[in-house]
Amino acid sequence: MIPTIDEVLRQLGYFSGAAGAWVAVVTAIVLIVVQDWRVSIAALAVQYVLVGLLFTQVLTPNLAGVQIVVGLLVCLVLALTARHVAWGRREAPPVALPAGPARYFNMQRWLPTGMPFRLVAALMVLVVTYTISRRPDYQLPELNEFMNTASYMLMALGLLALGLTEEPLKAGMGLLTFLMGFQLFYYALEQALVLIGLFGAVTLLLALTTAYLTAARAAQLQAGPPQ
Amino acid sequence: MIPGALLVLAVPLVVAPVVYLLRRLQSLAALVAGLTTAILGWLTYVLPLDQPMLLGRFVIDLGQPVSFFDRPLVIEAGDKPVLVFMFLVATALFWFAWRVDEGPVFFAMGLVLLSLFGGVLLMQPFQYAALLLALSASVAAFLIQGGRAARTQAAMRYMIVTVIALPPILVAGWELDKFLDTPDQLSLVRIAAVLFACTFFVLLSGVPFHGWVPAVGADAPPLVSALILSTSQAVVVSWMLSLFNARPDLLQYVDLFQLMGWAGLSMIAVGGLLAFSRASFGRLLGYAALIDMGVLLVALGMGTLVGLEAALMTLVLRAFGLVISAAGLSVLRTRAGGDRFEQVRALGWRMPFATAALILGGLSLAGFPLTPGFVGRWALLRLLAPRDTTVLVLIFLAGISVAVGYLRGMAMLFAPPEDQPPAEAGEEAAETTPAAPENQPRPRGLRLPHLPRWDRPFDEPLLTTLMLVIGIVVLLAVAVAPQLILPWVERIAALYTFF
Repeated sequence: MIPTIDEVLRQLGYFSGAAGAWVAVVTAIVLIVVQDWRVSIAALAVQYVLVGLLFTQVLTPNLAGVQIVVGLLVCLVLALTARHVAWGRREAPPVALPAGPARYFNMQRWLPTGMPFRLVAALMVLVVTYTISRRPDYQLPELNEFMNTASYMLMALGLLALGLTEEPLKAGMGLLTFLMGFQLFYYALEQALVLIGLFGAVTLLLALTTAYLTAARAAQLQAGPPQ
Repeated sequence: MIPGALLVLAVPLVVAPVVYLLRRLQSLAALVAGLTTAILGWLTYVLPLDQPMLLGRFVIDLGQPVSFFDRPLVIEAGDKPVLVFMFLVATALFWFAWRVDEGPVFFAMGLVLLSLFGGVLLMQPFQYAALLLALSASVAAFLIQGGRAARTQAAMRYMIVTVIALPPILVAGWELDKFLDTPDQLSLVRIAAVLFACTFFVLLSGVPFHGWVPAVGADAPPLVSALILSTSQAVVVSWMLSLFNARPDLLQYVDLFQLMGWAGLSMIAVGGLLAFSRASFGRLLGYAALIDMGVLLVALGMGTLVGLEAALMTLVLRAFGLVISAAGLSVLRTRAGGDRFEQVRALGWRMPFATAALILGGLSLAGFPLTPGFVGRWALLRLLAPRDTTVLVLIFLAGISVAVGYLRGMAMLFAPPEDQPPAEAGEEAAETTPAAPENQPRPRGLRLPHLPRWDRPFDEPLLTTLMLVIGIVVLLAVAVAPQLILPWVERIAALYTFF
């Protein structure tokens, strides 16, 4: 028998607490640090599921379920586009890999140059947002402690992701992460059905636009260097 | 009975798929899209808000509200002029686009964008309008990219800035709702005012959130740039003014006028520093629009009725400059394959009307004398003269910077062709100008471009030329007789009573 949304959410109840919030933050860090689009999209999908579970703290399970479905649709749109443009391999500058077993010991393959910088930047943002979110003056209204921290961190990490890239797909995922962090906060304040529906429409349209711009950029790179 | 809100929101959405299907018949698509917006603009202008009118077999009640999921959508007195403005600007742009490639979705997405902008103006409460604005940014991104395999920064930046501006105003709505329950907590209004300021600072492209403006000018097709820079910013300004009109208490807690003044100054300073050295007309258009928006904010920041009138005057007149300049640029860009100065070199001789439109529109954005832009700029400078000479000088210098940019471009448009080898030039001269002395190639600097045929002296199609000439004539007419517009501006300004 197919379980209902309520039953599924109840079984995943552990992740609707602090554990889910922290894992969602980790997925946001993965989005920033890892350049492989497959990993990034998978991380975004996990993030949508976890944030959807966190929504059960403030929304009815059905509405939270709809949020998860919208998020997974977004990831599907992005994944199909990314697959269409060969997972962004044309975006990255070509790296000459040695032949034979030596290629597995290539440092740049396992640790791209930008990765340590991205990791440090993400950790710095994490520390700053954690400090801010713990201050009573900066406590967001109507949110419990871990939701407050997760909301701050997702918004800040989303903005960081936006600032670190010009690739539409990665920037789009940053924007969606930012929006998710804000929704975590805002749905605690407003639970009007129309607002939630409009937010869903905005999220889906952002994903479509991101996919379209990703395809346009890939076509440009294929055609040659920009004029 | 057809409610007005349904008319202005639904008709563009219904026509959009039709013009999309007609996209291969570009002239027809332009005609249909332009007629739709022209009729909507005319109806919005002539129909009264307070009583239904019979038009043919239809009864239209412009002021009747429509319910959208229990939220009212209604045209109010302050919305009417903005809707008329928006539809008329779109009409001009659609008709100018009949023979230039502005992307396969220009007409269809343009209509959808207008419908969403209309929704922003009519939707109550403002939180919903904010979400519609975010939706419109996504639609605008498709227009900006225009189906081209080209840089994506402009579309991405516009979308990001609009979405980032969303959270503060949504939270501000909640703060104001809570204030209704606990009227003794004044801090809620103070926070809401700060959040409002944040949203509009970002939306009105205050520095450092201005990057999308020159990017859209540079990367988007010219007519799309004009559509977004004129209508989207008019909608945001009108939305902001109507919010202040509805909640004048917000202005008591944060000096939003001063903030607008500073935001405007920062835009003028950045635009003025960078405009004169730009090497492409598109980017120059973006910086000119940025400066013009800064001037508008400085006028609003004065916090007086005359300041508001000057701001509205600037808002209306900048549309003339943007539309005419973009129309000229789109013709030149189609011919040259780009808008960098070196790409359009010597085209001024072959396409004088497009060149005239581009330069006149650009100079209007610069606030150059004898152009429409000068009227709004002059009105503001006269207001500023007794108050703040520094700001006055800054605005003046920024205008000069834009004018210098356009004059540099004009010099290239009328420069002799660079890549023509002297021998070839000599042969061509022999074919076309038999009276040329001994068919000898002239020294480079003195050689005048030849005209290919006496009966077709220019490379511009007749109808395009006609439209450009009409545009130029309208531009000059507004420059000569701005008093035609002034009464409308005064009437619109009188609707806002929050000063």
